[in-house]
Amino acid sequence: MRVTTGSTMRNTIDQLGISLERLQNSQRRLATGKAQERMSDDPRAASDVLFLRGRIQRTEQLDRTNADTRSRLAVADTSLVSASDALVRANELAVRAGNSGSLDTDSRVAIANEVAFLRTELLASANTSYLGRPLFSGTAGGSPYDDAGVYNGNGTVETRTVAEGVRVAANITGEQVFGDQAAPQGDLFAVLERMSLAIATGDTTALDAERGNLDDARVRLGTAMAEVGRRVSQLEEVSADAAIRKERLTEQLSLIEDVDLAETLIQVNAFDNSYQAALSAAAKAMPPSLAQYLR
Amino acid sequence: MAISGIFTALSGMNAQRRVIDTAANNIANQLTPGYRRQVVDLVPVSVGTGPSVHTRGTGGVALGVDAIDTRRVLDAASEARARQSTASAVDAATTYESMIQVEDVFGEPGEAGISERLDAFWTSWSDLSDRADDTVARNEVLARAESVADRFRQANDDLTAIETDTARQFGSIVERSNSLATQIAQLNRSIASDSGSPNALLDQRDTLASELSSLIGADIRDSDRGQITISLGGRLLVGNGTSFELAANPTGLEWAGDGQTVTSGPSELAALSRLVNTTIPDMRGELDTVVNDFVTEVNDLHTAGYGLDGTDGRNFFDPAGTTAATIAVSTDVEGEPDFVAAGAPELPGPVAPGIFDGRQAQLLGDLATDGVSTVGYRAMVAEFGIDTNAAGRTATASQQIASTAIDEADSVSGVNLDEELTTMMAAQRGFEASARILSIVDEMLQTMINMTR
Repeated sequence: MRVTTGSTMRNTIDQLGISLERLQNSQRRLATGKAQERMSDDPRAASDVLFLRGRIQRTEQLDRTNADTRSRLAVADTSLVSASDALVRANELAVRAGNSGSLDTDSRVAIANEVAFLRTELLASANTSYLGRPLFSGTAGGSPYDDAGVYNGNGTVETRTVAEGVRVAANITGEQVFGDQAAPQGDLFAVLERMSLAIATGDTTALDAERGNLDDARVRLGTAMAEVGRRVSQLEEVSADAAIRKERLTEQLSLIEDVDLAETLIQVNAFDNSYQAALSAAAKAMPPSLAQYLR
Repeated sequence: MAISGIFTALSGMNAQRRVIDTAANNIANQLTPGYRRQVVDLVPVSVGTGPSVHTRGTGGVALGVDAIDTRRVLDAASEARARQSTASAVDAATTYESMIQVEDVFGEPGEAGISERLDAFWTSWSDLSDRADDTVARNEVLARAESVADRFRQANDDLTAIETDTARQFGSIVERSNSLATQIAQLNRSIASDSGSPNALLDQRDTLASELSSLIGADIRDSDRGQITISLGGRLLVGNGTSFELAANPTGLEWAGDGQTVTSGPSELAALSRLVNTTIPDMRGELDTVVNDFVTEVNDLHTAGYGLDGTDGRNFFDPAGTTAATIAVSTDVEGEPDFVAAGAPELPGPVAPGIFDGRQAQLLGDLATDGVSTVGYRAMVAEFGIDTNAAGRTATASQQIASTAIDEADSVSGVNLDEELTTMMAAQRGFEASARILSIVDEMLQTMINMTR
């Protein structure tokens, strides 16, 4: 093909342009640290970036839920421990009062008062709240138990997702812990009230009946405590796993979206060198012509 | 016979001088855009013409050289190929640039994109579900919703801005194209009326015709007496000495005479026309589908949920605002954090749940993965990214093809410095030789004249 001055010039300019564009692109990647400026730079990778970002946000949010749930259950656990101690004491008092043959009226009244006092403490535990929200009211607002010991909460158990695919009951209702108030034997506060009365009046039959109810209540409370403890452990394990998973996702994202600094630096240098070489070749390629050799 | 020798030598000198002039012209114009190199056609002079009219019957001796024409060297087929592939390359490059512009409307995968805001919106619902009574969390949901709606509306506005800008570009294209058509018609008339080879005019006209071809995708055909006709979508744009006007409208070009839409071959006009008539409307349609899905799936869950006041049935987004231009937070909840429905219905009933119930909010938060809109949006931008990437590769390939075609045409009609200098050298020697012959013949005549003294 015949080579003309015009085509030589045009091709030289084109080649220099291509070389310079490559250099500029790698410099941009170095400056921003991002491998994809737009979706079209690498559609599949950019698509993965969007997906991974969403997954990471979700993982972080689920972990927040996990932390909140863990805290609430931990505080609930503490309340239940106090409640349990109170019930142990109540049982001791009931046993002492049972041997009422050796007790006089004043002693009986004193024990009855202490039982009443324990009932008040228990009500306070039942009404514990964490960050402004009661622990044992289900999802209802306000205190779960009023002064008369009547349950005003509801029976809703909130199931929360605390990690991908892991759902946990986030609360335990007052009725699950302190007894369903539909049946008078199950209502712990009513039991204690009646027990106090029975001790004061020396009604041993009633006292025995209420002691039986108290034992049932202690078992129920014990079961609730074990359950809460189990959930807290589970949440801790799940949180540890989630942290690892989040790290992996972040790593994956970084691999796709961040440039490899070392590689890009080398590229910038290489492209710069090739640009210099192209410039020097261009200078030589604009050929000497016959004009130089004619006198 | 000797006298005719003078004229023979003279014709030689004239011809060689013409060759030198032409070579000099070629060298001077070697980088002029659109210049095709010129050569002088030399033919031996036949008996009975020119200055040898007095010497019939000289026994077949040639009587000199005639430079009958200085013509352009070009290959019409290569020129046509170069023109067409350049127009295709311009079309592909413009298409790629336009698609980048549309892609940038969404700003993905950067942090200013819609995807980030959608993620944040869903997250705010999930966070609300853990503390359904918290006003701060409720206000956060409303704020993130405004942010998403805002971003959708902004995307729509940006698309409109591209359309407006393209409409403006049609205006400048039509101005330039009308100007080119008029000039070409004028040049056609000048060329037709010139009996020789008006090379400069031809070069100028061919350059303008090439520009017109890349600009609006016109077809160029040779006509009589060196003229060209230009047609656009089958209709005549320039017919020898007459040209027809075009006008611009927001979606492309039309014939000024009857308002019929211009159909053009691959060109800048065709690419911009596709942008405004196909690419952007399609994009907007897909975006509106995403918005519709988004508004619907949020509202479906929200109307079933309960606010802090125990009322259900509230919309979260305005149900009438199902396009990117019209999406808005509903007046049912705007400015009223307590009305945001976080609670799920208590069954049986259904009745309002407790104030700490955040199960409906959790369902809304789960739309990040369970819902259609976010997944649909990501698929939309990914697909467009793939298309844009492909357009970029087409643009590069077209450019290379055009480059090659231009080089081919140029190899016929481009100036090679060494060739011209060599030609000049040879012509110079020829000139010297003819001049020498002139001297010799002059001496001979001198001798003849002195003989009779």
